[in-house]
Amino acid sequence: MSLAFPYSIGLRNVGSYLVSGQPYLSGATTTTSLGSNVNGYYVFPFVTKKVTITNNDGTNKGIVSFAPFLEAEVEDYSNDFTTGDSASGSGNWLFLEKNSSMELDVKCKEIYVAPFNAAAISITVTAELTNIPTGSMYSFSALKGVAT
Amino acid sequence: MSLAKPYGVGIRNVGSYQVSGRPYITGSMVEGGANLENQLLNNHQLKISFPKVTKSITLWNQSATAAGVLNLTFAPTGAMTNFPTNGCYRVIAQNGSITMPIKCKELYLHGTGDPVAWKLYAALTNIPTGSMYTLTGSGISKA
Repeated sequence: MSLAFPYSIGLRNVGSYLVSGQPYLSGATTTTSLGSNVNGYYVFPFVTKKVTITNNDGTNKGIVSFAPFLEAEVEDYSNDFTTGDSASGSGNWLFLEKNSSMELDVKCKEIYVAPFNAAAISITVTAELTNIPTGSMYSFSALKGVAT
Repeated sequence: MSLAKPYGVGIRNVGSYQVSGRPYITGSMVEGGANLENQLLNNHQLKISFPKVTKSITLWNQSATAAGVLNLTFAPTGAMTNFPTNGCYRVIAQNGSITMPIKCKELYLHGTGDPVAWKLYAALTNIPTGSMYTLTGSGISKA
């Protein structure tokens, strides 16, 4: 360690992910529009170390992605994403089965949840946060496996 | 740490696997659950190449019928010795999934029976795939 580069938290600093995370609890009931991220857009105050998304609905599936799902909604969300960056047409999304949780060991600064059918679903999002500022996190725009 | 060999990400660098991964998602379904060309037909095989070395993968079989069976391998079945009796594959049945905390730069999906719809999630390290050796031999391509 040198004075020029003091040891500190950071995106590529291992210790930042090894210490226990700060809790993040949120949730909402989505819109009834298939694939819409209205009420399904979660912005974390710090970079995550782990995210758990739960679908509390007993009938309908959800959709989880790291980019806005519908092309028409892209510009309403993060400035990171622009036209052509949606997760829908690229298949870069996951099913969230009814009454189930999905735990993702992932670093990110935002996540998107949407209903898979034209029916609202109740979602809860729990995250373990690092102390890494979100400004340190790179953009997922046009990243293979996220939006392309 | 020396200036000649600066600390950085790498295939044998522990920290590269301890930091949380960045997401990589792909699959055969797009908006509304419609199937893309990535849907696996009977005895078809699909190679998935990752942009970075993985730290873990999760694979789901979302087939509409129980006859749609998904097989996971880390080498093309045609290059294997005595496939499938060598056992170097994992079967994921309808609505089933598998999670493996493994490093790799590519994997192969092989469908049998009815068309197979699938989803894949990977947590990626920042290790370039060029650093990853080719998986072959015992437990990969032969018993």
